[in-house]
Amino acid sequence: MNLTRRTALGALAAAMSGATAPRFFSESEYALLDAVAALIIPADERSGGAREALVARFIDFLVAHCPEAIRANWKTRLAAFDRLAVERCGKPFLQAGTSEQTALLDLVARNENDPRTPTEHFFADLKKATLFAYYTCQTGLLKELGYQGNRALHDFPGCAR
Amino acid sequence: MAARKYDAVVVGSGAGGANAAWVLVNAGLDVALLEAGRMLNPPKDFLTHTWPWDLPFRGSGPPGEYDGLWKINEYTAHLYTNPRRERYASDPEFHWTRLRAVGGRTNTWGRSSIRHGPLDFKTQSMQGFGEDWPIGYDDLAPYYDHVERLVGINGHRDNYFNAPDGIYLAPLKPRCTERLLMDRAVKIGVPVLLDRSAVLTEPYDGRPACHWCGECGRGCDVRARFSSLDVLIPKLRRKPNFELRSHAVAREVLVDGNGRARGVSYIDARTRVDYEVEARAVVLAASTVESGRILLNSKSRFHPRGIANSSGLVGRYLMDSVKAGPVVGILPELANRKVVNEDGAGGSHVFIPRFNYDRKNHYHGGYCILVGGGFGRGISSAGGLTGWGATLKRRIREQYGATLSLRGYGERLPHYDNYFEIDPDTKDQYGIPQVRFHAPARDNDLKMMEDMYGWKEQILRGCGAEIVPYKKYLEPMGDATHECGAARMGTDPKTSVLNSFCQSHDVKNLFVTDASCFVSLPGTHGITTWIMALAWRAAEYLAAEMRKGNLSP
Repeated sequence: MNLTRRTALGALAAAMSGATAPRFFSESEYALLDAVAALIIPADERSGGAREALVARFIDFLVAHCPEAIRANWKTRLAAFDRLAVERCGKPFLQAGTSEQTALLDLVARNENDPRTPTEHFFADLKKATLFAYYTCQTGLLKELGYQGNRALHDFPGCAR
Repeated sequence: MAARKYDAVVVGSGAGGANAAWVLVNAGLDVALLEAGRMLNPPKDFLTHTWPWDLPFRGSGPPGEYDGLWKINEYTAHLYTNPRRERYASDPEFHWTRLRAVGGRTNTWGRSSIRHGPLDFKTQSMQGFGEDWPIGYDDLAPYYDHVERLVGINGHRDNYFNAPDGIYLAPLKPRCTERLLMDRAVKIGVPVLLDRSAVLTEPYDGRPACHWCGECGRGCDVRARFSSLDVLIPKLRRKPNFELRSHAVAREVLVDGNGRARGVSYIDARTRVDYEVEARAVVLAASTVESGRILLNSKSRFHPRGIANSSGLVGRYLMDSVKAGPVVGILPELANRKVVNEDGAGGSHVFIPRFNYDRKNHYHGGYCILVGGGFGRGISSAGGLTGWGATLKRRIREQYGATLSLRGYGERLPHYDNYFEIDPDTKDQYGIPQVRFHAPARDNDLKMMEDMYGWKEQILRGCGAEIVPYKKYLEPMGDATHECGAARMGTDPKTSVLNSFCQSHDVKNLFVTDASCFVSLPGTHGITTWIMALAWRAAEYLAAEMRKGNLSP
């Protein structure tokens, strides 16, 4: 073990805050993923959104287990998306204002059912992964959708309408 | 070890094997049952109530891990053979879903238990395509009775054309999406019936009624659905004339000096030690592809092309349901309704039986349509919703419980060139030669697919649904896990492998009692009770023939 005092303290702080370093994405890539996911499924008065549900953490875990070609696609498409932000707004996505971010997402969401460009693929893939991650966690399934099942019933009543 | 000689050795403990063993044991025969997999412990092995967030990949498993075989997921992967680690070749793609464990695929089966009707046995003479079975519905009806009493099947007697009613427990009650479909489809001439499925709606045969958690497909922790593991194996193990050997991977059928079957050789999956089990009769029921593979691998000077294969037809006429992708609709009437527990019995409580009998079709055969809907555990997609943000989130919530999906399962015509064979280049981990598949979609399959999609749209529109954009596709053969027909029955030894009692034409003391014997595969969902009825009949015949001395050299 050859931990410097600084890394040891950093690890301790991370452990105490419950945060863990991303497995696959860099810290800055992770922050961008988290921000876009939070825009796709935002928090509201009913339930938390993608950020509160730690969707980015799951996507990072999932992509880390993907084949090499798919992992590489995530990185290049994410970078292309941030470059698009610089082209359009003169600054990276995270530093853009709300209306600029909205315009950017609308732009890359145009062809989501038939994505063609790297940035359109970025949106389509991230949306799909975000929905999967969000609605398979307790926030999405139990709190947001209000799923009532996975418990024993004595009888199944059928449709009561 | 002094060799003990059994009256019969049965290979495979699924629907066909365990059921044949049960009939043989009851007839007083001394039976050994070989199962390639391990014994299962339902409360421990079946993740019936596990939440997605309890698993690292939320139920989906590592990306690409299961090769697109939909039955294998993070809840069930430990039960199945991993298709990436135990490779087989196919051209085009073939989905071969293998489950090696006591009970076989009855552990995770779809539970649909429809009877097949008179037309399904006589496609050539009554419908003008394919070939007739050497038996008819009336030959099998009494055995369907036996099987239904054993299994415990919910259902409603509908007197529907060519789907004979059986012996049923109380029927399932439809969910709201299914109720709406039942009310509306009838107006456009499409019938919707309550499903007939092997889920207990009341306590039966010492097993509890269903507790309605909706995840039977992962295996049931309380035995409320039929499996041979939970129903037949415990009954069998109480009999003194029965022995179960698990971890026994069958290699080939052994022959005596006259070319008759004398037993089975197998390798113990744990120790890799080879064994032989001797018997007066051999019954293969390892699933269609595995049984065919054992036959083809059983080469001797008597049977140079594999045992029971003088016709050269073992592996040929391979079938599986023609399975098309789904069409999903959103039912505005059901949007925003109060969320209730709609898990029910796993899968749909209703189905659309074949309904094209009276029409002039530009393809042969027919299909049933399976239904999906209700407040499920998660959302399969955003229901076609585009965009992002607060609006997307709200609309997903509104549509939850308001989606209706339809998926067709169609008749597959028997085709000589749809087949598997031994792959000279590949062996499995036990050194047993592997198979390779050649089973493309044919013209009739594609025409039927088009018709399916047309009707699925028409039905959804009839229900007032908004149709979610979709792409048309057929799943690869094997995907429906109804593979059958590679050792078909018939009267002529030149054009069939087995006789009408699933007995080899060539080798009288060799039987195959899984779906290998199928001559046709109608457009219905579920073939398990069909396999069981055929196995019951075959085993009864085997026992009678043995008593008469007809199986001895």
